[in-house]
Amino acid sequence: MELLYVCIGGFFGAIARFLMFNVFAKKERATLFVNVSGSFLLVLFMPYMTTDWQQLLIAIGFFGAYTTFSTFTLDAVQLAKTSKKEAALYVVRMLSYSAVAMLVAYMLDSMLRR
Amino acid sequence: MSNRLSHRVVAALVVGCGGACGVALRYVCIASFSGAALFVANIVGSFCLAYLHERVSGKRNEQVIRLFVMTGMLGSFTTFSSVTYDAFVLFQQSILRGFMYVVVMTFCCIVAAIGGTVVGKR
Repeated sequence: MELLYVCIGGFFGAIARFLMFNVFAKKERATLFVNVSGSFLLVLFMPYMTTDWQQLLIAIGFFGAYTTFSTFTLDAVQLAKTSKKEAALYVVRMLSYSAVAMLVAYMLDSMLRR
Repeated sequence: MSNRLSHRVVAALVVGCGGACGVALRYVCIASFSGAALFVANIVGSFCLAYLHERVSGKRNEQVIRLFVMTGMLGSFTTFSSVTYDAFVLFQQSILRGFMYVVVMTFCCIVAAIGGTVVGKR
């Protein structure tokens, strides 16, 4: 039963990510957008997911599938083939944007709770 | 429905099914390794994706592998949002630990992806 929740979330998360890859012209842009937006939304919604099934369906399933680490590292390796600087910049951008997204989500959440 | 649109819909469904499998696999990993599961999943996933990418590049008729395995399964097997959330939890204890967690994870996965590319070239 737990696995079913996780699978349903993963099904829709992967489709959402796939659609985003069709929206953006550059593959790296799409990966960046998907990971940063997914991180933001997960940190924002996590305090409201109180029951087990919500966490399985949304946190592990949907956002787990929506964001991806393997495409990110593959992008970085591909970029490094043409320019090492581009690749390093891409990695730094990914990590710093998601850190900012995390902080903004945290601050937004604590503002809304007041 | 035009032919192109139906092709897209089928592609999205294939990705979705792959995604469901990938997430299920990760969930099984979490259940069996707990703490290090995310590390294992992201490193293994990064290696496999880079390996397959090297294998299918230049070939045109590998749609099933591309959509189901690469975009769907391996894309969903690895995850970024849980890494951010774990880092978020660690940040609240100690900024250094949260920072180290993200840096070590990224470093290991990039090394895994380079390894996958090298092995895939052979």
